[in-house]
Amino acid sequence: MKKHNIILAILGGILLPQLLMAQDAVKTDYMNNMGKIYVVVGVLTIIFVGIIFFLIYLERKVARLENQDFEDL
Amino acid sequence: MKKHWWKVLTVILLFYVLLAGLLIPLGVGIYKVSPVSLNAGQAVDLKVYAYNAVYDNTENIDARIRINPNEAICASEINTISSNSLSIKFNIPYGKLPIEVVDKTGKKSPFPLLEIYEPQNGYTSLESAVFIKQAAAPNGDSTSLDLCKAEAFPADTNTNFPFLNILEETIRNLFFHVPMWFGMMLILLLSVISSIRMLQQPDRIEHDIKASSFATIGVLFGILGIITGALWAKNTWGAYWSWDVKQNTSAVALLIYLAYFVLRSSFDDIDKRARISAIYNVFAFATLIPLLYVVPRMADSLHPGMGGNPAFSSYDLDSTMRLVFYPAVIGWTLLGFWLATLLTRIERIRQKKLSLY
Repeated sequence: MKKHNIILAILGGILLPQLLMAQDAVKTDYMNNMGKIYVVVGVLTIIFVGIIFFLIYLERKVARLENQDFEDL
Repeated sequence: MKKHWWKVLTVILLFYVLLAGLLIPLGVGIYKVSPVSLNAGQAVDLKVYAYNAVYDNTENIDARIRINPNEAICASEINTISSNSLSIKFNIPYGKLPIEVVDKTGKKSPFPLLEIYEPQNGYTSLESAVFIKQAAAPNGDSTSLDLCKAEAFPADTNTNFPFLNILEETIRNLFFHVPMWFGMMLILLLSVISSIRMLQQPDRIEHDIKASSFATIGVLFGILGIITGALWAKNTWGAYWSWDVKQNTSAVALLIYLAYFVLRSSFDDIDKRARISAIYNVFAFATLIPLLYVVPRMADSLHPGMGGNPAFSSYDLDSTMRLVFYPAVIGWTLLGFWLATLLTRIERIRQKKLSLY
């Protein structure tokens, strides 16, 4: 069940922006607009998401220690 | 608190980098000129589009097409189309124009250089902006060339990041994408130092914990670097992945480091794992340097600093960029170090528990 959630989250993270962009693609080319400033926004978002993923990884490690689940050590 | 001063420094530096890196405006830059081809004897109406410019008052605008260090074709009339676009009239003279194509050292010259100066907006220029078709005067008389002296415009005093065509605002990625790689390199260096110390003192498992934590953060930074690089490439080179040497070699380098974790997970015995993965880490680091810094320089690459491309030096030298870039490198590296210490502490507790058990 947990694995399914992760896969869903990843798929959602990829597909949702695509859907939003597909609607806007007709109107404006976001990335090439306003001196391509949205590329910088995208780069910062990627770094932020990367750090959040690392936090989740740390959290799971700490949780395993707390649970005293010696078999998992 | 005394022990944590560098964490405070990290936060301050990154806060400064985010604020300054996103808020300092780009300088004025010319992104479009039409027509591009000018004929001799023609009174051309050149339309110039400038980014971030506010040309409201045409009185103070100075414009010219510089054809060599000392001479230029000066504008005869300047009108505004909108606040960021100008209509500049030039009378292109007949006869052979002394256009400097290469300079004395044999390098390509920026001429014909379109230059615009306005006190509020500052100085802006576009290299090789137009092509001038030269022709002799139709009646055959060699009238003197109507050129004006190109006196230097006052230097720009505004605090700006340089405007570069194609890059435009994405030049700000220099503070977010590039420090990922600098940080990765420094953190992997720390990792390899821990590995070497592990080999020197085989009874101290702590070095192994440090080495693997640093390697984790190094790989995290590397992956972030490669993804942000792909996004940047999509909007400047045209594709997420253009099989560029720099992209390929950094992907290979990351795969080598991923193999390090696979190797680690394949051992049950802690001491054996520590020793063998330490040796592997030393070799992985040794291949990282040629992969990232030697091979891309030997082949053609789109990436700055590689294969004859101008390095970041051309705009890295810009003092305003430096003011943000160096703190960015230090800030992101310290953040990586901070994350790695957290990981080290958790791992250490786990090892302690394991030995108690």
